[in-house]
Amino acid sequence: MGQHWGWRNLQLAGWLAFFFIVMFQEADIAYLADIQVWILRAGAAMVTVVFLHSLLIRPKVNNGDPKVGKKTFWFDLIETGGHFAPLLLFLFVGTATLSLGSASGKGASIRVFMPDNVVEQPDFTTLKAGEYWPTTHIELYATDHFAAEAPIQVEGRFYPLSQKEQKKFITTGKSAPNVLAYRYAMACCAADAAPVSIVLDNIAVDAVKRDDWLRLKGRTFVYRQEPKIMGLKIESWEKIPPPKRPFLTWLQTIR
Amino acid sequence: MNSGAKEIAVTDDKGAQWNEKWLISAFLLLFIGGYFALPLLGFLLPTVSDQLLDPAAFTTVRNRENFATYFISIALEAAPYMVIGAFVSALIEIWVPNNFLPRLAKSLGFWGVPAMVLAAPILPICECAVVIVAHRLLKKGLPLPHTITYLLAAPIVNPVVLTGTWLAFFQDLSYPIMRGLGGAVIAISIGWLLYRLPWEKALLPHVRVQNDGDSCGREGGGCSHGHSHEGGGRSRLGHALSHARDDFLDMGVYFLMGVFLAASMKTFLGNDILSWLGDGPIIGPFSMMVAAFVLSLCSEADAFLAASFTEFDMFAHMAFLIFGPMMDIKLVLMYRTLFTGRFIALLATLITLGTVCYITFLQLVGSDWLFALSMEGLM
Repeated sequence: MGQHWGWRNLQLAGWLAFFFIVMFQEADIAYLADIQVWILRAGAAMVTVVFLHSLLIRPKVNNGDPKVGKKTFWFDLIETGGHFAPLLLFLFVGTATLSLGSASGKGASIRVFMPDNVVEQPDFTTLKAGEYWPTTHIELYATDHFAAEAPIQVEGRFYPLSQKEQKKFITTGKSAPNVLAYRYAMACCAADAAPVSIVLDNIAVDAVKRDDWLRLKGRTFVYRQEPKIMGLKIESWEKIPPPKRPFLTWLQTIR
Repeated sequence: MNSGAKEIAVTDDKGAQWNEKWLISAFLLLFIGGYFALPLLGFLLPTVSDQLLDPAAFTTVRNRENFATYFISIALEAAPYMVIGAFVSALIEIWVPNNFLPRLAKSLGFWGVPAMVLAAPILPICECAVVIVAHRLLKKGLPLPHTITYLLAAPIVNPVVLTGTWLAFFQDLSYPIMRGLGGAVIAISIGWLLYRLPWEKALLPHVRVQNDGDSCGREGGGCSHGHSHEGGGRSRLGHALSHARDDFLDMGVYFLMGVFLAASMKTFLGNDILSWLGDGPIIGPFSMMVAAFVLSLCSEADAFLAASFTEFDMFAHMAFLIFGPMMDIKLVLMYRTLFTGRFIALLATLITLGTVCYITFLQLVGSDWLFALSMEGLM
């Protein structure tokens, strides 16, 4: 029952096709951090070896169910189809990414970790007029280098806040923000990704659609100290196509 | 159990598993067809494409994309670990003599259970791979209390996992120390409890049958490719590859069902479950345990997400970091290939109680002592 040599090989073929189609389309980097990409490649190589061995060496004894009939065939086919589920999903959807469901306060701040090791001190004096320091959402939160009026350039997705969501962000003496730019940051894969957001100032809500990718240039400010929420006063912005690697990775930031 | 009765039990058990497998497969295929393929066809209809402009419909599209992202990424991330686990399992099957593990466990007696924790760091693999290895250890005759201790400790008492925890939490040594200690203490406690309880009926028949001394390829050994293990190293390698294939595929469908459930929970509940449950000294750790169960993260990555839950204290973080690698949705489905439902329920209860006791102990000891511990570690 689903144990026959032929079915087993077909089931392995489902997994192999999934791994290799994802890798050949370079979609693996859209779902996984670097180290996991290498582990995926190693896993795919191991499955290939198992598959080739299984294909070439047919067992002398076939100890599947001897009562093989039409009914069993259909059940075996369905069971084998289950092993193709990830491949089918990938073929239907293509390379997908996460979008923010609701802008809870959690998405707007991250814990500052390893402040001494994470980011080199940027030297803003090397910037020419009109230039901005390229950085990421993680770096903005990880150090105090960008605390005030730092000219930076960052990429993120546009998120207009609803009135209900705005209330979560209200801070004494400041007006509620109405727009965020967010990125997801992962450790190993998209499943462990957490959103990291910054508050945007000086950008028209109606100018862009929700979840559009933007390259934002402007000057930083701290919208709230505890828990920390960073902000960016926009000086210019442009729409950009979705990047091949939509996720930031925590570990890449550590130097 | 005599040979005839044993064969009937294994056949019934395999039949039940086969039924589960095709049912799970049918469900997955129907879901993917219904939730993803049909809407694609629907795009061709003008009324449906108009609906896409509707905000409510847009939410559905977003949920669909988030679900697919979670499903594909968990499958891509965890499946290679399962392959590695299947290889390790195959090597154990081929190279470890049949009576070696039962004899070793017997000679170590009561201390065999904590000794399993020492075996955990030898192979730094996460929980998906450990289930496959545990399957093989049980078939090789390692007693259940010892195997459970290894199964629970290995995804935590593991250099890769503990280093990740250290990096995620400010390079603060107290986090990996508390996590490793908690994982080891809970795993050993549960192992010792099971040592005193009758556990023979906890295993599914196809898992326990080889305990009687059968070897691969012989009667009732659960070996589906039919061979003997006589011959040279090349032949043994071939058998190892066949075992790796079968172990990986036997677990595959259950794993995918676990991935489906985890992706669904993450898409439709997500981190909002934490806001719903709330924080605080008592409810905080409980909330984080529920989140760990629902989110089904790999133990090698979970510390980074835990660290991002800034509204929770270190005790709640610790509950998340210890409970998750031992019990989550994905693991329940994978445990289903080894244990009976009643035993999984008992195991879940013991893990929950163990985590609660450990967190309560930490809270009583106090964070000052833990801070001192981390400072000492840094000196």
